[in-house]
Amino acid sequence: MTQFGRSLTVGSVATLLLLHATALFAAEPTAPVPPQAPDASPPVATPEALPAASPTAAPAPDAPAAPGPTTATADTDAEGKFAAASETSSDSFTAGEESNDSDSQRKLDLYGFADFTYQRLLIPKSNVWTRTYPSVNSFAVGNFNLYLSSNLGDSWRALAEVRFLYLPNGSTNNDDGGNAIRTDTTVLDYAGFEQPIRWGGIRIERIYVEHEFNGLLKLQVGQFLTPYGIWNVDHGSPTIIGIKKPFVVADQLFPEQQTGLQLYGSGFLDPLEVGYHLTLSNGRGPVEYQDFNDDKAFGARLYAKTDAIGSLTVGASFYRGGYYDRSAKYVIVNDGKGVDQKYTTVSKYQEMSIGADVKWEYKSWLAQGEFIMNEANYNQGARPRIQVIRPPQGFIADYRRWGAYGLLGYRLPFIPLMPYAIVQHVYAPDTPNIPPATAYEVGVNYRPTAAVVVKLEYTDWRFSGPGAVGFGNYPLRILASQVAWAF
Amino acid sequence: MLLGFLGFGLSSCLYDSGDRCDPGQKYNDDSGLCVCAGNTVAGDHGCVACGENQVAKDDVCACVDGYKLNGTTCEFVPLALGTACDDASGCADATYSACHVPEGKAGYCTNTGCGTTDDCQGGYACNTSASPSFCEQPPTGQGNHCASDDDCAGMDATYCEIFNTKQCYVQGCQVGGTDCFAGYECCDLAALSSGIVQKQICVKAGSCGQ
Repeated sequence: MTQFGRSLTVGSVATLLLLHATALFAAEPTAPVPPQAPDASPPVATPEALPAASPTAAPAPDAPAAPGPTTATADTDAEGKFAAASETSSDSFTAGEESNDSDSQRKLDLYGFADFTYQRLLIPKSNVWTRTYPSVNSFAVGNFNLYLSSNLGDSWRALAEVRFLYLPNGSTNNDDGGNAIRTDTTVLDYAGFEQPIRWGGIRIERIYVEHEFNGLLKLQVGQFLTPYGIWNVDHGSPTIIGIKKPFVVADQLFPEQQTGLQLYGSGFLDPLEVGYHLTLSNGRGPVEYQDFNDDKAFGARLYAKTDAIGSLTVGASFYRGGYYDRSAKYVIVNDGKGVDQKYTTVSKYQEMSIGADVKWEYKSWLAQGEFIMNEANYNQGARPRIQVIRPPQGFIADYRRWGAYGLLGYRLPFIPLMPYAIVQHVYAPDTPNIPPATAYEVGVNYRPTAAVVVKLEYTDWRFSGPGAVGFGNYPLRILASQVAWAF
Repeated sequence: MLLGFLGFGLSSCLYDSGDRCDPGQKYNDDSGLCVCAGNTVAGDHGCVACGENQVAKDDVCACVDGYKLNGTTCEFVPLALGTACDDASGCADATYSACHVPEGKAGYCTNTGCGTTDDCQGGYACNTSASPSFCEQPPTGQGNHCASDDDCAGMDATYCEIFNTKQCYVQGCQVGGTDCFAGYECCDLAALSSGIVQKQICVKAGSCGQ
């Protein structure tokens, strides 16, 4: 470990202890409201427990029953708040109908999360990863996500989540000559003295409206997170255990979001709760709001959950769809009498994904894991050309990529600290630069309050081949720290 | 039920490890890509066959031995044609026995007495303004793709026209003169650009201003 690594570790531990001491002195009371599953019946929430009442009240619905970190997730938080808000709002709405003033009673709840990360590579400067790994030795605000939810009355609800980004400023694209061209969004601010400022972007994570027919049948229309596994839906940094998503999730073997319809629901077959999700969407594509070839994607998820031995959830997910990207050019037709558009296929393939997941919370233990596989078959003549620095030039091949991770954590009894370990493996031949890799991670997740999480994590990546450009010949060891908070 | 669900997924496989590429392509283990097989190279949307007298080499279509690229085609270049020389004594071949030494450049062996460019080989063109007429060597770098003058440096065609064609051109010709390569004429870019680009370049005859 480098000198800096040692000092960072010592500093982080000191920070953890200091934060814990602060938490003890502050003795901030939080309402012990159970976490909510997206498809669970909403709790009977009181207006005092509503998340959007104030920043301090915001995390209340997420507060764990025990003082330590929980496995409740940002999405669960969001949906929980969503459900809680809707329940109360529904009451308000009912009252409003009676008073013929429903619109004035309708509420918009705002809440969200953000995180701040610092990571350092524990490798020699001669290692190629020091020049290719993103955001090294830098303080970075990574996520700033805002949720907006509202009850619309009569079992109709709406939820939106947006992420604010510094991007595209600073992002790089490689040109044919291998030059990494950085995007610069600097503009002159006309509202001041034309001093330079940089603009960023907004990403719509999800936005949908939902109608609940009954517990077995709820319908969402809009853009939703693909219901698969655990981590994709639990994506809020304050509530996930580790600092980063496992690579197999980040690599989107299932599409992260889809635009279309989602049916879901659950029922009880004692001692099991059995639930399902069915999706119909545009599928993966270059444009969120346009399906170029009307090839709709469909997917499903089944899960079973029991509280007979702790809380055990087992699920399986499936997705099948097509991808089509094209370029277009206006051309003159009919002997110069008209104009038409001519399409050229850029990329077109069919894909299929399957996943299996398990999550078990037993006393102070948490164990979860996911296995995901995705395969793609390109149409003839529709393989995108890959720009490579080192010859030969070529086209992306049909692929089967897969990966898995397992997480084991233990919540300490006296301080809100969870040491954890993650093992993950990924095989991603669609990105030939990345060789098959296995990562071993250990870390601690410290939650001084229900809404703030401090994490420290060490990751050792090991590669079982050089990859197309030889990156796999170099070891990769990362020490990362993060503060994440809900508001 | 969950296992049955997964089994349904696995039964609908799309992937065949023995057939990962299009016809005419082969999977390259080192790069992890489908690379072009046979005498083809990677184009923007698939493999493109090399032309006549061309062979795929290092991702480009190169001329086979004895041929030289002229524009987009490879033309036969007799071995003796273009051989460096200082005077006629350096040109031993019976056909290409004349040594032409352009002003300020190295000389080369060629043939004389041509009537038209059809009498010349290897992309050479008949220069009938000289006496006797001779087959003239095309300017080096002419027509090469470029993004700036740096890409044209060291060639006869040193000017990169970046606004339209993005090709290298010979510059410094006399408008109305005969100092351009046969089949080319001098084009005054200053006149075409309202004085913004003060350049005179050799372009194919009839293409100036188009």
